[in-house]
Amino acid sequence: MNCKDFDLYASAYIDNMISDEEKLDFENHINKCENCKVAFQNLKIIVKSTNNIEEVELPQNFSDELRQKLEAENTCKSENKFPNKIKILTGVVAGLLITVMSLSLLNNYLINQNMDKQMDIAKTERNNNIKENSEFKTESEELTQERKVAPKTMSIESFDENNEAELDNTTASEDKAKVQGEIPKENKIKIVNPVITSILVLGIGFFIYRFLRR
Amino acid sequence: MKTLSLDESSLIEKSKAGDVESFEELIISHKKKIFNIAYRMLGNLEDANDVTQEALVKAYRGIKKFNEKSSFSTWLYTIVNNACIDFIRKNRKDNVVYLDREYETEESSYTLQINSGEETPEQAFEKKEVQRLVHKAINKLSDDHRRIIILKDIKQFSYKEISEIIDCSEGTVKSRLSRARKNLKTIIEENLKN
Ligand SMILES: [Zn+2]
Repeated sequence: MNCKDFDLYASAYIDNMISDEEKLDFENHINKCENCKVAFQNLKIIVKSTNNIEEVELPQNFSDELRQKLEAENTCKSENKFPNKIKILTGVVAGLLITVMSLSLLNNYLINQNMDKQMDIAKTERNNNIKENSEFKTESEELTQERKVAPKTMSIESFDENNEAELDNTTASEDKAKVQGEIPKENKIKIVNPVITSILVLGIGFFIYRFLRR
Repeated sequence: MKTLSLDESSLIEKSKAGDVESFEELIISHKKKIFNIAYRMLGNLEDANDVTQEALVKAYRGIKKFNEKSSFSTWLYTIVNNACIDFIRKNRKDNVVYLDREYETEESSYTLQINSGEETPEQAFEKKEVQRLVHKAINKLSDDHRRIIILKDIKQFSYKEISEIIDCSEGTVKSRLSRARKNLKTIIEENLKN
């Protein structure tokens, strides 16, 4: 090292944050250079004096003042804050309700679409009966079209699954029976929907209530 | 500043649940130290009281977010350090440092023991002179240098702890500390010459 590096070396030396090699280097320089030697002695004295600066005492009412502030902090919190667990639960419930809502809407839409098609098929079929199956090919095309829609709704209306699966290989007359079987299901949808809707309204109302109280 | 002790971690849990007494116990060994850091940083007792109170309330408010993998005391002193920086930014328009009266009177009543025939400014000086001058000289340092002197030489934090508290590398701590000590030494030497 040389005199330029003195500050960094001396400071790190005092803290013992220096490698053995640097330490030796520094000590060798100090023994040769009188200026750095004196500077190092002075620096050590300053650091030691700084280490020995005595602490001042806390103000007398420090702890009382702090206690008041911390307790004020608590009352602020309890006024406008529910425990975290309830908040999270509310969030989860609201999320579930929204999911149910969108699923039921989607479901409804698909079922309606499905029903329309089946109606069309039924009509076509009746026409076909009149025409004595003259356009059998067109009908089977429509049946395959229906098959494409059917899987989407399958999981929800599992009780229909079998019926629809059968459709794959059906003749036109079986299909007619199926369309008749669909009619009570349409009623069922109308019964289920108000229930879902009321749950949703309650859920959203609850969520908004929580949100406003926050 | 090691890993959390069992006591400490259960006090932290209770504090997170809003138990004021647990929080008070948690900071009992730190509050005087915090107050002294603030005092050295800000230069007067009244501001030190305000900033320490504010920092501790902030810590109480923020303890829910405290991650137990880190050291509680480092986390706490980071908040204190930031509170001091904020206070200085808000309240010190000019760069004047206010000295406490007790030190001003102390200084006026004390006479330098330096020989007028001194030739080299690097002449070794006596400890008792330095101790008196250190108070005054620390307050003349820049904020960054004063902070690092307070943390290392007054409060004896390690380089690693300081690097966490002021959010920089250990290399920066090492070099900044060496410059801060050099400046402190220069200020004291100049005072001795005058
Ligand atoms: Zn030298």
